[in-house]
Amino acid sequence: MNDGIRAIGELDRVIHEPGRLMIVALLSSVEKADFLFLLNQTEMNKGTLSSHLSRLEEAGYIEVVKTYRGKVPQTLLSLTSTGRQAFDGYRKKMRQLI
Amino acid sequence: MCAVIHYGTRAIKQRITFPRTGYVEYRKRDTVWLPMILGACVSAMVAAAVSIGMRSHWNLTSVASLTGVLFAVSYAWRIARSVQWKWIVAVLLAASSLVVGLLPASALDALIGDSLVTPSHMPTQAFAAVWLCMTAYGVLTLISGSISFWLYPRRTQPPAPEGE
Repeated sequence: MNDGIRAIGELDRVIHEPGRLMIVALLSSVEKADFLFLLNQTEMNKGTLSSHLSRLEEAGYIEVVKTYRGKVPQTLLSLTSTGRQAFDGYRKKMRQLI
Repeated sequence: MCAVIHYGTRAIKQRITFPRTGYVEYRKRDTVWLPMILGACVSAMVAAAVSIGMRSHWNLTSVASLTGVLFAVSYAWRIARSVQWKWIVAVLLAASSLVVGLLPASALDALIGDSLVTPSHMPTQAFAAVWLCMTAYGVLTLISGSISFWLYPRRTQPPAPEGE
């Protein structure tokens, strides 16, 4: 097996999942966004999005802040420095592979 | 005017856009120097070209018209590609520029008349062409923006309030 093929196994599995990749890619281009924005952009349902966000938060890739916009609850999400590094690393590896 | 644009945009986003499409704060540019230097270079080149053109008695009416066509192309590239009906605006922008470029000198002279104060050293016909083009772009983009503003709340609805 050559090194290129072996490198596929070293890909970050947290980011590699398409749903989470969408979220991380979106958050990488913004300072912060709320749950509704991600919901609209990714067109996932609330449950799926919540589950992906929890997985990313567990991995320390995103920061979740619960706040209020007036009287409406708002969940603000941003990529942490660890998440940004992980996403940059993932992109580099994918470029090498493809 | 700047304050109206700044605070007006913010108020519209908070009251209309964010409740529908969600809140987003885009990353600030890492550096502002490159766009500033590029902008200064382009401005200097345009100013030099206009200055040379005026001294050499070039036909600046065509230049104003050409600038309009370039504006229409950039509008089509940046905006009309993502919003289909805005192609009409891009076409109208280009058409209005071409019409201004094709207007006879007598029509431009008649337009200027005594109603506009032309800057010193600037040929009156060229000034009339620039004034006409700018007015056309202003009116067209204002109408297009108003239509977008009218359509947006009708096409998007805020989600029903519930826990996230």
